[in-house]
Amino acid sequence: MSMQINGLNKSFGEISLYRDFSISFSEGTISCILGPSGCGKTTLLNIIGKTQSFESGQLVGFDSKIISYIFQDPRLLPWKTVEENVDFVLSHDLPFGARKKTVNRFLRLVELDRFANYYPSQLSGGMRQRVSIARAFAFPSDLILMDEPLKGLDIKLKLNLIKAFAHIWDEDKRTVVFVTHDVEEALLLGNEIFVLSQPPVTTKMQRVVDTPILERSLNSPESKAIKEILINTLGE
Amino acid sequence: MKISTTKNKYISLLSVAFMLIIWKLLAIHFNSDFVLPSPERTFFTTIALFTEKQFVAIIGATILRGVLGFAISLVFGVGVGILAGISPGFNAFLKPILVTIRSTPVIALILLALIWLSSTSVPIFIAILTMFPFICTNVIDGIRSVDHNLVEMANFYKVKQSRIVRDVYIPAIMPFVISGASSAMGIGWRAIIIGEVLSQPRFGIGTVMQSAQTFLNVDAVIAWTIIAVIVSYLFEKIIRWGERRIVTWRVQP
Repeated sequence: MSMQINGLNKSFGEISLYRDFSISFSEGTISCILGPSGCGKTTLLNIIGKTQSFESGQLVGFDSKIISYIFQDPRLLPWKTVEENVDFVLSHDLPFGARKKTVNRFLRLVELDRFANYYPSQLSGGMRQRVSIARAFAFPSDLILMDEPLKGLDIKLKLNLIKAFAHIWDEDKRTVVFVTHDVEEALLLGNEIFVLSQPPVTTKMQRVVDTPILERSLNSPESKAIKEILINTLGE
Repeated sequence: MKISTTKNKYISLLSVAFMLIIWKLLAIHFNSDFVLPSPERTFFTTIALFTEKQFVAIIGATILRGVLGFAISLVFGVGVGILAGISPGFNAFLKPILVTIRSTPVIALILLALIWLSSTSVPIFIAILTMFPFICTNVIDGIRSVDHNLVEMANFYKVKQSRIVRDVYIPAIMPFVISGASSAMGIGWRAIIIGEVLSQPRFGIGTVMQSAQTFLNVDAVIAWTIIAVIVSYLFEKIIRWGERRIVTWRVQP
């Protein structure tokens, strides 16, 4: 099963961002969209999330999909605790006990169960982003859209969050579309990596990474080889 | 931090002592209880007020008017403010009305209210007219300051509209409501007492201040003023206490 975008056309004024663009994402995997800044990666996510219109094209297999989001900023409610923030997106038609169980499970997976009663202002930036990861997984979605959630973080924090994400994803293999401009993030998280070009956007390269997500390392020969190819393709 | 707080407390006490000394010097200078009674005489008059038979009825009436006017202003201020914050059209409609109310001299409003209303309701009416615009403007600012990204997040996650209002909008405007309420209360008490002075309801701090002034009981005028200041101060404290209870999430990292 896969989700496909076929023959997408989308322009902003004079600039044609997507012209007859097609891409396909396999379910139960992490698809990484790697591309230079300003190549319309966020626009693509917005089109998938149905928050932006487009001129023509077909979305296949997205129809009944429930979507959760991990944004660049954590977007937590400052007046709610960690636990309440995750609970906030759950349907309140569910009984409290069931919600609480879900919340606890995912907070444990991002190792924040001890901080369940903290307010966002009491957490570090990385911990806040972990709450937003837990929130995205706790929401009963079929698809998670991630828009550069690691942008602007220092390398240590970045690796830390990648580890947290890999860990939670390994437990719950959701379909993920992950947009980034960082080659290393793509290498550590992507099952399938797409390298996009400047507008009008085309897929310059498509590469499958088979190593299980928890066994990835930037230092392995395979990673190094792919990294070089990705950087070269991006730079072309 | 703690040291400087205690130090500031001493400086504040010093400021109070300074005011008392100036008062005492002026009292000695004028040497007449009909112009300016001494602080100690006024102090005893103030203490004596507490034992007066109608004391509770007098301050009770004023406080009741204040609380009633405040409650009405709060309900309407928050309601109208939320609407204006959400709808730019309604805000454009409301703006001239708020500006008019705010820039009309209180005394003009009182004179008109004296013609239209009974003596007990004049001060309440005036209180509402002075407090409502404050609370309303603050709520409008509060709604505008709501982080759009949070609302977008909630919409993306398909959170129900009623819960977005309850869990995103209301908590976000709370600090604005409280600061509006606090300035409104400060101004409100003055408006109520002016209203009472002019409309002369049966009980009220303004009523007794007016009669004390007529009989040149300057010490009583000042004593009632002190009572009014204490009432205003206590309510300010109550609002701040309420703020700490409601806005608990604003903890420092």
